[in-house]
Amino acid sequence: MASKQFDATPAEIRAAAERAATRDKLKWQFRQQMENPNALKGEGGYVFDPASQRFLSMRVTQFDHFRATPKTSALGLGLFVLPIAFFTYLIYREKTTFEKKCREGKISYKDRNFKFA
Amino acid sequence: MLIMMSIFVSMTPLTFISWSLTHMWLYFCFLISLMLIYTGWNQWDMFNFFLGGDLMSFILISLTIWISILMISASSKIKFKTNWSFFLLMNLLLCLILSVTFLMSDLITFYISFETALIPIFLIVMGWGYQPERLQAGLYLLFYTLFASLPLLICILYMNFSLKMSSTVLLFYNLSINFYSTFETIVLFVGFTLAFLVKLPLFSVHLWLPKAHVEAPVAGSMILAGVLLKLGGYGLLRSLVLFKSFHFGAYILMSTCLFGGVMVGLICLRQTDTKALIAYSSIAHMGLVLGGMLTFFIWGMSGALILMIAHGLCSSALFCLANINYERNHTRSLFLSGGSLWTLPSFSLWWFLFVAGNMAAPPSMNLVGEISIINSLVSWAFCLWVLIFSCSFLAAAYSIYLYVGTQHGHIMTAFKMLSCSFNRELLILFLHWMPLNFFIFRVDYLFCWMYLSSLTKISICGFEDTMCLS
Repeated sequence: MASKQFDATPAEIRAAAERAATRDKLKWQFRQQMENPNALKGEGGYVFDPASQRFLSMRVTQFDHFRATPKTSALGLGLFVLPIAFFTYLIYREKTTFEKKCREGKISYKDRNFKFA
Repeated sequence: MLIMMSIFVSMTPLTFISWSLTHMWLYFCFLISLMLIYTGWNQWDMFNFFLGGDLMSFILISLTIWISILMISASSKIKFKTNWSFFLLMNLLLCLILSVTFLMSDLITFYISFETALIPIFLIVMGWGYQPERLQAGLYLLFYTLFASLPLLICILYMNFSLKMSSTVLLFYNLSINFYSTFETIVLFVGFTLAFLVKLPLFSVHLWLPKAHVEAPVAGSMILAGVLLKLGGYGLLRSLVLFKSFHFGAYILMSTCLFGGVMVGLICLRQTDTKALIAYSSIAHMGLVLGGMLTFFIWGMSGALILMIAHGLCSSALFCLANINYERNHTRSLFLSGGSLWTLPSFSLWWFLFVAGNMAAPPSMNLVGEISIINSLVSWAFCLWVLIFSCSFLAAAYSIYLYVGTQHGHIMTAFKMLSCSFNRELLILFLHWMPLNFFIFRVDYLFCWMYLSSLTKISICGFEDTMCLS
């Protein structure tokens, strides 16, 4: 920090000094872990960050906090069971319509596509 | 063949003597397994009363031995631990048991070897995994498979004693089996297919796979993705033909596997763990494989086999790459692993090649498999185009997301070390890439197992949209 600040109020100067002190402290802790000569070399890895670890642990343990409620059950039903049932019905309808037309002779042999798949 | 088995078994004492000798011996076994493909391409070869196979079995055995070689190369850090010989023994036993499973011609002995393969992989996951979560992962792997395979045992015994049928060879000759009622058909269908669907895995019974793949060591992940999922595919390719006339079962499974592929593709897009992303992408690909099988068309079933082999090589290589990053960064997180294009440029090429293979870009074998399967799916039921389009699009999206997440972006300043690449790692990746991209010149060989075999006449006649070779 410069010794004279012409365009800042004393409160702003004090706040900037506090921020700089916090930053220096954190930077010193980071450098202590990163450049520690007593740590094992060649091991790789990264400086441990508790915030990143908390996020990753949260993502991994999400299912442990799952509760079956009417909302989650409806979500599961609507997103998984109903679409599968819908597509099953679509396939069933297409296949039975085609089968019925073939058996009634409405589709000639030459018009049946993909015979040789 | 018996010479090969005895060579295999004689390797077991070598595991206590030398790592590199065992490794070299496996290369030799791979060369012998290639000879099986050369002789058995258009017929079913029986070596004795209970061991034999057709082209599909021999190709999968070659894949098993190849992946075993590469997974031993990739696990070189274990050489410096005290239990390295036990690790080698587990790998070799797994390779041997899987090879024997693909060769079994009797259903009961097939079931026994199918279950026996669980023991070495369980020990590998539990013994050499990296996090404490591997305990739960091992239990999920074991109990999902065991729970689903007990109905399989009951159905096999029922087939053996009531329907007088106990041969995998004759499973295609299903004209002699008359199921007595719809109830019997449904029960046998569920019992027979559930074990293989859990192994494949099908979307709704897939929960064991992300856990097991993520918590396993690199060797475990490679063999799981490379071969163990294909055990389920192999079982389905053999036994689904029994239930060709049970159309409604095929409709339900078809919509489950394809819709599951779409859901899993969406899940991939919000993953933060590299290995979990690759594991979920396996589920999407196996969904397409199952879809191809359920059409019972030649293109569908051959495309399923081609995609199984291609996926075995591609996914195994991706797990290898993920482990290469993990060994240096000690993290699997996509947020923390960015910038490998600058820290490990040699591997960026391989990341790109395998990610391109994952999204079925030419000239990889995945392309041929997906084209065949997509053609057969669309000709089977045109309404599936929505799901197929979504699956393919999402495959491209999450593959690019994986590449960008690991290679692009800023390098994390908190990384303590930058390290070089090792020749061993580059060799492993090259040995994955070479068969994946050069087999496309002879991929017609993999259509042979159904096309030219005499089994074709039995398996495809009687279905209204297929050609009858009479």
